[in-house]
Amino acid sequence: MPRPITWYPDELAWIEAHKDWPRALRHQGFVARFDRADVSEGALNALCKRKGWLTGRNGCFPRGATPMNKGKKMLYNPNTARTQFKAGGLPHNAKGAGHEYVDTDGYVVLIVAEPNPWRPSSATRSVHKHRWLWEQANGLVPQGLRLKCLDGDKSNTDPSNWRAIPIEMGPRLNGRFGRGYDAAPAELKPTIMAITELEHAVRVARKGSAA
Amino acid sequence: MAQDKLGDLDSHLFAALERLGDQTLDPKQIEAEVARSGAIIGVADQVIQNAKIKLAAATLFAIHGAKVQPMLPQIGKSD
Repeated sequence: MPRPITWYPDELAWIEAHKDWPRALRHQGFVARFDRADVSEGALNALCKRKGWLTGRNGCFPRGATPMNKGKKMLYNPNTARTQFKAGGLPHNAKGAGHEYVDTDGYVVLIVAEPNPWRPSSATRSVHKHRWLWEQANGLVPQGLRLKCLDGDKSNTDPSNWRAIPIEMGPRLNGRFGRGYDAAPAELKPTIMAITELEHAVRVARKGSAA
Repeated sequence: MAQDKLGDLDSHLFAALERLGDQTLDPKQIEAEVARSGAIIGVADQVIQNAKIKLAAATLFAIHGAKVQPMLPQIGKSD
């Protein structure tokens, strides 16, 4: 059974005199001064609490105290300043103009050395490579049209593989109401495209005559 | 004059496209062309389906050889 700790009067007087010390230091000092290795820090703390010998600290900043960082400007630690991101810098994984990658939809994205129209201070922007090449060869894609991949291989970004079709033709080529253009064999693709073109012309003519 | 190849179908389609694109048509003629083109589209869709089936049959024969020939009575017959 553990024995109660014996406290001697000179020890108690010392502890009370040092009640406002940080706890760890107080314990160290006590053990060194009185050679009491049998007293643990917890036991000493509990003694002080029982006797009401609190440190007087409650963890709050005293009212009207000066902040610790008063007058200092940020990046006052040279170690953090060395590696911290500076304004106007590029991310460490920035690739720069000429880089290409394949996005989640299978299109090839190219980084070109032109300012981003949505962020004019930038030096580069990313574009779809097939559209970029097509527009260099044939001018801007007209309003209401989009580029369709003819052979189904989106990594073939040559302008001859892409055709500007009206947006309305898309659902008639593929999807729920489409003719299965992408899934069809290569021999039938031109004919399917021709049928869809004719259908689109019919719809336009019908709309025109109705108006 | 059997015009039953895909290329002939293409020429029909493009001819219909040109007729529709003609600017000199009056509304009645446009309607007539629209109706005719609608019918052409219907027939062309069926031709495409037919072509797909033929291609599938040819592919099967190319992969599996003479084993599947009893299932494909049209293979080997010329027009």
